[in-house]
Amino acid sequence: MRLDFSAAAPSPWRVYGQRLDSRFLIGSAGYPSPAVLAHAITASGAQVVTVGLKRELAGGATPREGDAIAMLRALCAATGARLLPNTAGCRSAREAVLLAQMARELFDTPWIKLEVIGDEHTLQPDPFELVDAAAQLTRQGFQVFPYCTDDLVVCRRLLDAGCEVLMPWAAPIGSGQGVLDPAALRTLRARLPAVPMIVDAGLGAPSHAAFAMELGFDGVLLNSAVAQAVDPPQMAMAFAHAIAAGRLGYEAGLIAPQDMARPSTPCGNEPILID
Amino acid sequence: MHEGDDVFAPARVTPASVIVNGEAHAWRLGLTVADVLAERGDDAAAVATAVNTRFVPRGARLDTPLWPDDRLVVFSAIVGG
Repeated sequence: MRLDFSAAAPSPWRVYGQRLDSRFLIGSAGYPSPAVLAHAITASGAQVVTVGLKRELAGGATPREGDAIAMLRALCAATGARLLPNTAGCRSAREAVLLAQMARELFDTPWIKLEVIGDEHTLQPDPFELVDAAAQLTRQGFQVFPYCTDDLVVCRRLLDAGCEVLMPWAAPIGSGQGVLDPAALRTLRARLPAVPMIVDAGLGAPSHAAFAMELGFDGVLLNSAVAQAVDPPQMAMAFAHAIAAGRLGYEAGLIAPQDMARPSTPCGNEPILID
Repeated sequence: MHEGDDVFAPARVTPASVIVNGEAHAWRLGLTVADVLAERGDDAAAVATAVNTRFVPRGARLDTPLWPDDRLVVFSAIVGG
């Protein structure tokens, strides 16, 4: 089920010093079963898998949750993939910092996908609490992956706070709308050319991911589009191809669009004369 | 007191408790975070804890006493996006 990228592999990249060959980061929530999740991750070729935390019911996790986490830990141990815990559900910097501290202990990693939500309907990040939390966590030795909007100034503040990677949204979480504001993402890429940036959230189709990668983003993080597909492993593979294709296209250099046609066949613009 | 109340009736005392993930848990003098996890049947290695919104690392649970009305949260790993 593993993809073979040997024929056409995009260049490797680094996040917080970690070399990654895949540019696909995948979420682990909402799959029909742990077995389907395992197949989807394998098919994706992803080397980073997001996970979460929740309040524990007395007596321990439900068997299915425990199975999924045990499987993810084993998969990571076998493949060298990294877990990226998130702070989903947090509404303030204080909550997010506390959850990150617990995540660091539970998953034994300084990596944290920082989510601080400011609106219930759009799940739009709260930029003020996000920057505050990012600064606190960086001071505490965390390596922060902030889920943020595509606002350039907020992104700069996150870099000032110590983040070495940014994760701007394409569209609201789980909406599947694709990139809603290409101009904003283009601006981010142009103004922050050296910063690793991952488009996170809102993608619904492999073509959305290819488009994001063609804009020059370094990676794509998604969950729902794969987990809720009729065939999650096949959709994971489809996204993996699209992400690799988009990156290869970006690295190869896209032609500039223009208004008028340009003939591609060098026939000299002479009319074909029929006697 | 109101007219007609029995002034000699024993006072009603609510048993002291701590709040664990939003639910009352019986308190006693000397109760620690580690005790609560054991009494709940939690796998101590598979959960993370905080008391009154302050993180309590695994190694500090035995030495972290709880007092009436303290709020203990216990979190575990789950899948996530």
